[in-house]
Amino acid sequence: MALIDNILIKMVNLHEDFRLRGFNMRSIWMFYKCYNVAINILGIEDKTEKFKNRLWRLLVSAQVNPDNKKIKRLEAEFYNLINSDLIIVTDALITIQEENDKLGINKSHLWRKGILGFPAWEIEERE
Amino acid sequence: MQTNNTFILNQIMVRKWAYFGSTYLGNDLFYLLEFIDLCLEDLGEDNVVEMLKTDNSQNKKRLNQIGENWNKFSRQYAGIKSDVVKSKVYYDKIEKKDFSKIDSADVQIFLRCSKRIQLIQKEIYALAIFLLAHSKIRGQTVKDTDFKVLENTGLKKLEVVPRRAMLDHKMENDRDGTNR
Repeated sequence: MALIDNILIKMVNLHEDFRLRGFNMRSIWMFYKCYNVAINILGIEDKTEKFKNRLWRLLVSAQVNPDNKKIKRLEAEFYNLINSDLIIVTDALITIQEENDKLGINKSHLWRKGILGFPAWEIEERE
Repeated sequence: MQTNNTFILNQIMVRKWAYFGSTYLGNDLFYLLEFIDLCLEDLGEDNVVEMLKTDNSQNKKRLNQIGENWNKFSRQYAGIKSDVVKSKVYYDKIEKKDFSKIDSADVQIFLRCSKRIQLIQKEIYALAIFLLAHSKIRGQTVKDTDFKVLENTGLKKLEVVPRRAMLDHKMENDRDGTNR
């Protein structure tokens, strides 16, 4: 599951990046990609699925004939939904982490002693 | 499940998965569908259907449903594939606001295809994660270089050093006798 872990973290970062740069459509799409992966990892049913799909269709059709007021309203609605859905993505990340721990995928080699960037107070003193 | 895939095929699969993560708006689905195709080819479609029917993971309800209605799902899958290929060209033009330059017939094609591509597609993602969990690449990690290829192309220009500047730099080094 390390691949899913990699991808989820990357997608969350890209979502934030696009949001900061003002690419709202990309940002929303990127987040719901994470969300799709997350609900399938946790095995959850989403009750607001049809509503979200309808909102997305409205957003796409509003972009073709640009109507800034409508676009901003739809994007604001999506960001409200994202704030509530973020919990599911974090839950999925925690689940993957637990599974990786069970499988024994160990990332501690990144923090082995003596490599550059290791906090000085944690290095054992030589006798 | 034992697979016969080679090292190169594994690498291609990991790359497709990485491209899926770092692209957006239609392009990502294109790579995801390619990844699914490769996995289906590798594991064998009949084997996958059997495995889906008898799956016992957290997402077993959805996966069993896909396995039982495989013919219906594969028809839907083929439809989404053709829609993704048709519509992925247009998404970038939307954000640059130059959609008005395209013919109205093309706009109609795009709207028809993009409406069929849902924001939340449980079945396709469920199948992709299931195949990933049963493939040989599940223990691997994605390289950073695989992520960086596509995510930068749409956002900023590539930095190219002018040829004149490179030549000047080389001549300077030759004159000094240094090899910087």
